[in-house]
Amino acid sequence: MYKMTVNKELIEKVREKIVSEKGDLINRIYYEDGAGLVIEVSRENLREIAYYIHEILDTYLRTVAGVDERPIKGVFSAYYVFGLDEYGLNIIVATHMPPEDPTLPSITDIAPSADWYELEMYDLLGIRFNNRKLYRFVLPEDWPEGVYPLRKDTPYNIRPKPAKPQKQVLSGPRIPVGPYHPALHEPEYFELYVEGERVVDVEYNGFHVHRGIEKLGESRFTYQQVPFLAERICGICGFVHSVCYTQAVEAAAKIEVPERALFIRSILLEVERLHSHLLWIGVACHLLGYDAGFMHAWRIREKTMVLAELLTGSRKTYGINLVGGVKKDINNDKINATMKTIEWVENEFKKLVEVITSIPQIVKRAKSTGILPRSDARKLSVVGPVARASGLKRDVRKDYPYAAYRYVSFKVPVYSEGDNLARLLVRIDEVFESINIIRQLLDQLPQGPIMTEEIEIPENAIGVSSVEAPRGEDIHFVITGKDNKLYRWRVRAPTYQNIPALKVMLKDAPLADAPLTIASIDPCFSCTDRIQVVDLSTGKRRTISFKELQRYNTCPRCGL
Amino acid sequence: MLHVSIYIAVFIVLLVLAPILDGIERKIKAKIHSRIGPPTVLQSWYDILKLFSKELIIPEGARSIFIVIGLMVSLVVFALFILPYGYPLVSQSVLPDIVFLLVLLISIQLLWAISSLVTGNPFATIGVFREASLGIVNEFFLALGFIALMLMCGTSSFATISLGNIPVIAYIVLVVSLMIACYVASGRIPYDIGEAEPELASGILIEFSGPLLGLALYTHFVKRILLYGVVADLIVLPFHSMLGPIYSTIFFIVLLIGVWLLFAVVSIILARTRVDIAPKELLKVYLPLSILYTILGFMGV
Repeated sequence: MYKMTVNKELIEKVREKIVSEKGDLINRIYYEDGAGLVIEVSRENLREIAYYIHEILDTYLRTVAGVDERPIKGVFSAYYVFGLDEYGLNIIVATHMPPEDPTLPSITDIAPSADWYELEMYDLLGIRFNNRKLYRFVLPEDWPEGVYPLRKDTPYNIRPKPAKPQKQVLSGPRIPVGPYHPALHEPEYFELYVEGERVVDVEYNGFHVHRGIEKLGESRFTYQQVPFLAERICGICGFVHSVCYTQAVEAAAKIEVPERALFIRSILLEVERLHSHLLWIGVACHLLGYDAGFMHAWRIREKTMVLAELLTGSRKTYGINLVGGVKKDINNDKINATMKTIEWVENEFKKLVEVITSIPQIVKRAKSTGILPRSDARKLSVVGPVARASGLKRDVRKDYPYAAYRYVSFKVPVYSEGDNLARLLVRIDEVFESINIIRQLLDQLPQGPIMTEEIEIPENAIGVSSVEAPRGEDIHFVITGKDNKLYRWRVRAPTYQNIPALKVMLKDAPLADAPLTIASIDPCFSCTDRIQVVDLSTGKRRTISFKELQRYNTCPRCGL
Repeated sequence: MLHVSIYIAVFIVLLVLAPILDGIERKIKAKIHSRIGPPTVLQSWYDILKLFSKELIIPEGARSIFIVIGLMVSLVVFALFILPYGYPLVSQSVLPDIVFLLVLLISIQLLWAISSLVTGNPFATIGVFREASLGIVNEFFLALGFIALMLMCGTSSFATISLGNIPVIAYIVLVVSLMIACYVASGRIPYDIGEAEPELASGILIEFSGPLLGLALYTHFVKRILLYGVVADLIVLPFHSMLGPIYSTIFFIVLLIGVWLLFAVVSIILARTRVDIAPKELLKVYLPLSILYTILGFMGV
């Protein structure tokens, strides 16, 4: 659905405000339907405009897309997408760099969440940033200098010879959490520096399983194939990515999607949220040593997977989404079966929540641990349940309505404590809200087609779309291209935005709470690690420290 | 002679029974979790046998682990031999077996922690630190309970515990206190913080594998039999002269199994605590209980 719900008058108001106050610094300002208010500035004025938009207009940094536009415009570009929640409006600051000098001023002191985006652009596009430390972030240590995977002159299937990796030196007492730790069954690596049981510092080292998905989407896949690739970004919130991508293309190409398809998308997004939250609640119980809660949460979760299979034919990775609509319809039998299942889930979940919240150790250990204060949450632009547990009322379903969410009423649970318990409670409340939303959607399901007839996608159109994933907002930025292919596809998963907040949460907290705190943001590393092209022959990074760590990470009980 | 043969038979039965009780516990746990669980109650025995069939890997720079583990195994088995099985042997009535058992119990707890310290693994080090902080509180009150027991019956022998000899109410409070101490010492949730799989990747057990892990696990099960045997003894012994040797022993074994399964269910419905919370919480429980049994003991009720 490309139609933005923003009021044209409000946009005009914001536009006039920006022009009257900062007009002399702006090259061009215009509203692009499907993307947002685009402000073109020269790189000399970027910092001042970014400060104005982030601090004075009180927005948050949603995503940054670096683009190699040399073949079409002869420049490198960077698009900073800021979100103005009250108006549901994206403010996109676009800036260009000459190809011989791709340098930008850093804005990390203004918006700390820009840190990762800048490092990523430096790694993958070779854009340099002034006034900050730049280091290898996404690419492996043995990736040769001067090969930038996301530049258009770099083929997608490049296999460069590995450079000599720099050896890491081990020093000081530290506790490795990952890669592959019993608490988090995904490849990520936290280094916790401890004094006794107190964590004094945290280092994060991620991007262990990059699949080069953005590059693939830009080079090998057609518009209608990418939804299936996008769905494979994540094993838990895959449909979120697929919907987010199709919405972005629909926004760029102004494609009108039939209402029934929008409803079906929303229903499945909520089924996915049910599944994800139940999974997370189980894992949280396990981390607190309460395996009975773990097993029962997953028993209930199993039914949501059966439900997904009934509606789409697949338990996960539904594969029914396309640009312009969906492939599979819902009939009356399915509606009745769904109603029955969600009622069962609701009743069982109510009982489970009563039990979980009555276990003294769970409440004691979740309360006042892993605190993220509201001010830090705003500065770091965190999203989803993490933001809502820190008192920020941020929910894409309300702020930037998409699919069929404008037709339903639901509450956005907000807690102000910012601790692990608040994040647990937000998710518990959201399970009930999701059930409520599915009921409303099924009741109102309109008749009609599920796929639009005409799909025509123009060249060089920008589309921005966001979806509230179970972990927070997921945002896709696309620029359309020639030959039925994307020119640029930028994916930003919620975990990308939330991991930097862990540093605040983990510092000065007991080590025992670290696994729960790390899990409390519901991290999804496969979503976050989607970017890099990994050379299979050199992809296995083995430095000395890694070997050391492998020894520590074998559980003698389960042998994992 | 009959006493001695019963005694030796029970000793062997207990050594075989320990992993089977763990197997039953796993089945019960699975039922409560809505799972199926292991195929038979012998699964824990199969696990241990499988571990013994594996290659022996000694943690780097920690050869002394053999001495520590060997010492721990022999101490556990020896302590189990000293423990009366509901009815004290003639020879036991002259031995200071309460003191002996206490010393052995505390040494075993210490060795259990030390065995992993020699490996120098950071996870194990933190696990040991946690066990130690918990042990400071728990073992103090375990020892205090044993001392109070000796004061109540006037000697340091299990044989003198009988109904006519002890202040009943004080004794019941004491048994409750010692029951909690044995629960905590057996490393069950919420007090398995030294192991805490999701946090410390099994902490104190982390460097064990193959036969060493098998031995450590088996010792752990026998240690549980020992601790729950103490609880069963404290309940059966006051009645031993009324029941006679055979009924006392049967009663003892039934109670031991009952205590194990009761503790198992309790641990399944609770979650893990944290090292800075646990000692404080335990103090809040132990202090009133110990004050109560001391006062009641002095009053002679």
